Amino acid sequence: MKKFALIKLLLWLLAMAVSGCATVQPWEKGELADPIMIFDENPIDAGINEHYRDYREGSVGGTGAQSGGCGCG
Amino acid sequence: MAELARRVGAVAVVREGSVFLLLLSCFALPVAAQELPDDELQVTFNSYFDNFGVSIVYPTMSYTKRVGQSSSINARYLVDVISAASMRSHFIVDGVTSATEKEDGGGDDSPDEIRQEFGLGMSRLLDKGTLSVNGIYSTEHDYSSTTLATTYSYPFARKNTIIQVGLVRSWDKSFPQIRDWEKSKDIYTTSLNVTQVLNKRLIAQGILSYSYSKGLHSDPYQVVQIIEGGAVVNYEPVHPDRRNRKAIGVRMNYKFERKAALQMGVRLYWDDWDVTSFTTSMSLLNHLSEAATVGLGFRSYFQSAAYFFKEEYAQPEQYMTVDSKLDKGFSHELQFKLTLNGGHFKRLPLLSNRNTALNFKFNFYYRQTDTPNWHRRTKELFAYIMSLGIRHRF
Repeated sequence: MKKFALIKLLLWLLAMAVSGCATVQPWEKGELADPIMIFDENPIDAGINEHYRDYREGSVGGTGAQSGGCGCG
Repeated sequence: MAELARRVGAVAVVREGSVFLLLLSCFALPVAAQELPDDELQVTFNSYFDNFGVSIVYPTMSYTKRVGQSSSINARYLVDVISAASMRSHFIVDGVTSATEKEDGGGDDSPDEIRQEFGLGMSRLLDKGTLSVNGIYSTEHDYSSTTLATTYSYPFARKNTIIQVGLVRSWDKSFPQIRDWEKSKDIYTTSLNVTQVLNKRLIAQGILSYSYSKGLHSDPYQVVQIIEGGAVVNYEPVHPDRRNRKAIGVRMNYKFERKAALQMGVRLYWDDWDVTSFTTSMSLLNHLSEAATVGLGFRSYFQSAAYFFKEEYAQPEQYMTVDSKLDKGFSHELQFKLTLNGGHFKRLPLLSNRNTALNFKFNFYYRQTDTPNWHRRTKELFAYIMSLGIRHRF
């Protein structure tokens, strides 16, 4: 039950975030174009983090970075 | 018995290092889905050290190049090496494992464990979206892995919404020298990412992930010890041969001031082995000047145990494991990042070019499990991960 409550909470947060957004015009995206606003701006770096965690923790996925085929599952 | 466990465990240390970092991520999720990655060359030197005695160095090199107006290709090479010193200090061949000798090195009992990974990929603009396909092959003396990953990203609502669908398929083969078998594992992963621009300073992302795997899930270098008739008997760990894994994550990135961004994320994971986990993360990136950007991040992770994990087994059971990552526990991680942008350091040869950036990263990772690790006999793992890299955009 606790698990499903958390899932609902995450989905609710996402829904609230998406429904509350206003259209941002292309010329208004100057701040968003900053490299520090990009999720996983360096995919190699993100992959390194993801992999050593994969081998030391029992869960994978849900992070945005892709991993697999490593014999660590 | 402790000595026996320590000696057997020494083999596992080597294996743990050998499979470290077998796959990097295949792609990033850009802000704009219809953009191709920049032409760039990236060379990074990475290292890993922990209190279990594992030390690894793994240089990586990647190259990305646009081909025409609508395509881009990338190639990557990675090699990871366990330092000879750490292997010699921890590796003891014994009769229990019956490790075989190999004169040319690279065997389970030789201090030159090397893994190589080759990656080749392509991105192509299709309509308004971007299709990416990546192939990766990894090989070492007792393990091989082939992965094919494909994603398609498509923007909506004046590029304020991006939907990305991902499929990853892996074929792994394990052929440890201490066992007389070869086994495989197949993995299917699908993911759905939705990235939404919320306002001029805020981006949110939702991530759904499902993974199904079948085949060998256990580490062949681990040993389950059971006392039978006053003697210690070693058994291979046995995990279920199928696993269904699901995860959902939400993260947000908020730009405040003109020079700083705060990223926060939460993630929930669950599978049919009864492992559930909850992760929170937060990082702050700040432009100190045009020349330097620093970052500080913190991550916390909490996990439950797999239903068949036990501290001790009184008798052989259908499923048995000593794998710490299937135990109940938690981890915390602290990260520091520094990026120096070229063009602002005239006296430094590498950074005199404004298209070049120097990246430094240091992570401190701490994990604690409910049960002491089966060979190190400690509940705590400390790891230090460092990387230093050059990124040159053409």
